[in-house]
Amino acid sequence: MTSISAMPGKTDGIAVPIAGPHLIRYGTAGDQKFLLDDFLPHYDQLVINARMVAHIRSALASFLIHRAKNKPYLIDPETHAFQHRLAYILSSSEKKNGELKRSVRLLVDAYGAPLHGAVIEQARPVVPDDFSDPDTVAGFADRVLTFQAKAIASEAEESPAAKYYQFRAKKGVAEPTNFRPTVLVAPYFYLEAETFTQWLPVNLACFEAARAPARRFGIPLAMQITVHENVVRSPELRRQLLEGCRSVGAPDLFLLWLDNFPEGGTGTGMSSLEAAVALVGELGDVAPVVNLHGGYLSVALMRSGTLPALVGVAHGLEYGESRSVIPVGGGVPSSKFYLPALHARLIYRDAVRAVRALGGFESQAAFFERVCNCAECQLVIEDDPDAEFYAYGDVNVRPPSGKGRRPIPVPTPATKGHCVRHYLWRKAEEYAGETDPKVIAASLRGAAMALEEELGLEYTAPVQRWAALLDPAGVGGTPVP
Amino acid sequence: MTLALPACVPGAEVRCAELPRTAPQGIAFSEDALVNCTASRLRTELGIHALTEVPIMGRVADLAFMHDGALVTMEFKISNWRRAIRQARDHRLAADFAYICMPERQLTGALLSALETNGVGLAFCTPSGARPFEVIVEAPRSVDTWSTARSVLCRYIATLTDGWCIAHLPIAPWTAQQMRA
Repeated sequence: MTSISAMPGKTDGIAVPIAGPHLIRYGTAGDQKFLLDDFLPHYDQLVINARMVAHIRSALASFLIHRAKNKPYLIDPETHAFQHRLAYILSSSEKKNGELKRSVRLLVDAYGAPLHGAVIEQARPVVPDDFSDPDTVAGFADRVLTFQAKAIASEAEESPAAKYYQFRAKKGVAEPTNFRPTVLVAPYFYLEAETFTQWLPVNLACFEAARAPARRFGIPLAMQITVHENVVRSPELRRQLLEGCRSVGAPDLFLLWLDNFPEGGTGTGMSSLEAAVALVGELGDVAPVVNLHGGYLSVALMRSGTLPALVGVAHGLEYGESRSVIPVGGGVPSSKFYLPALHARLIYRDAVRAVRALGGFESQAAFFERVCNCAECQLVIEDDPDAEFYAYGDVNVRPPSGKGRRPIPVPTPATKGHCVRHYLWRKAEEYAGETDPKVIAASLRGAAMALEEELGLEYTAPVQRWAALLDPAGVGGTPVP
Repeated sequence: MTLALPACVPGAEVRCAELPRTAPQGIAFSEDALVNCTASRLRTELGIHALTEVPIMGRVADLAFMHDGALVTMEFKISNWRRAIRQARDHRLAADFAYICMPERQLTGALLSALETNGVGLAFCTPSGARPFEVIVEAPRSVDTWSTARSVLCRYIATLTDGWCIAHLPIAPWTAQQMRA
């Protein structure tokens, strides 16, 4: 394995092609400011969507190489986007209504056949039959990997920062670098129970075809598994998946995306969590696994060694601990405060109730001890938490957009900044936090007991489930200070 | 609380009156119409500056006003009182008294129990009655009120004039000194 832009991480002596366990998904250009400066050393790697790369590749290259000081990254090729209804990838702007979004069009042009024929010429999504010709699959895999290997690297090599890195390498004070991703991702498509048997062979063929270009670039190759919960919960489909993966040879890494699977969601019951844990364990027999959309449970399972195969967990900045494969409406953003005790984002009014129940409004010291003492909270809570906590919920009111509509409270930019920075500091803490599963479980139970009466089971039941997974025999909780 | 303007019906007697769902002209009332009618009557008949559609902690209360130094919110619903109570319960974080306001309807045990459990009052809106609304079940003073949110709401009501503008709940960055001042 050759790691290009980052030294590979190691888990139990096994080299893995990521720079460390803490991965952050780069969502929008607006995310950049949160990922720099003081926070830059507190995460290991970025995961960037191919559409974003296609859309702003020069700006991204500049950000990664110059401002983010050559932060390791990988690119999600997002090939699954072309198997769903095209409506999801069409522009909704007035001028270009009905046309492919610009970033999608750029990707289609880069990936070529069979996407081009289906999406551009026939205005339909791709289907498994489009991948029946091995030469077509080989060409497609080659182009998808070439895009990942070169899109940012070729821009970066032209940048002034590249000369600086080359200078440092010549002087022997830094490793030579060529700004490439740490791992390439084979083309992949979404797997759900109804169409599983049709798309799994396509995924396997794409992975096999991607081996040659990956070798040519000298970059490790990952297989991305993007699945609906109905596959995860079926032992038979999991067996077929695993058998298929073994049949094409082990990848260097699995990237796992569980579709719309919030670990702390009310609908994500114990049996679902157990099935997901089983899947990671089974994949882990073949290769290390990164959860591309994970929350605290994933981090705790990784940190505690409960799931040794899990070597990395990625999250986004705001709504990033689970994600739907089919895009869902954005809706109006609302203030959410990440409550460290429950490892969950709470609607602001519930956060107020929780902080009050924990006694966090009593004094600055009480807030720091019982709620949070991250760098952001230390800036925001100067003296009187009862008043200053409002900084996490302050809003502007957008006027009604038409008759019968209502005014919309929207978090101010400052509020958003406070909430995101607080969240990121807490996540950094989690990735470096407790490793004893019994201690983690006791802490979770304690928090759930302390807040159940105030918040109800919506927030506390998931935490109890996490505790049960981490320490099945455990009872009782560590009291919240 | 001394919400003296509408008459209180003691003991929340079960009343079986027909719902006044239609105006005399036979036009069905919408929630918005009830809200606007009530706000308008509070202003014109009683001189109370009631504000409609008021943001409170991520929700939007249909009506909010100050009366005798108390901050009162009302959530209007034609039906689905359970949803109205859920919303009104959240208003209690900022308000002193939170009500749901509905067209006159039969009082059931479930409704009365939910009102009591959640600390929410009930009023019947009476668009063509002598008063803008009648309090049927008095709301207890909220024990959930967060003084910071209440102050923000008071200032919002006090400063917002007619017509919508991009209003900023006047708070950030809010220091303790400003709060005390």
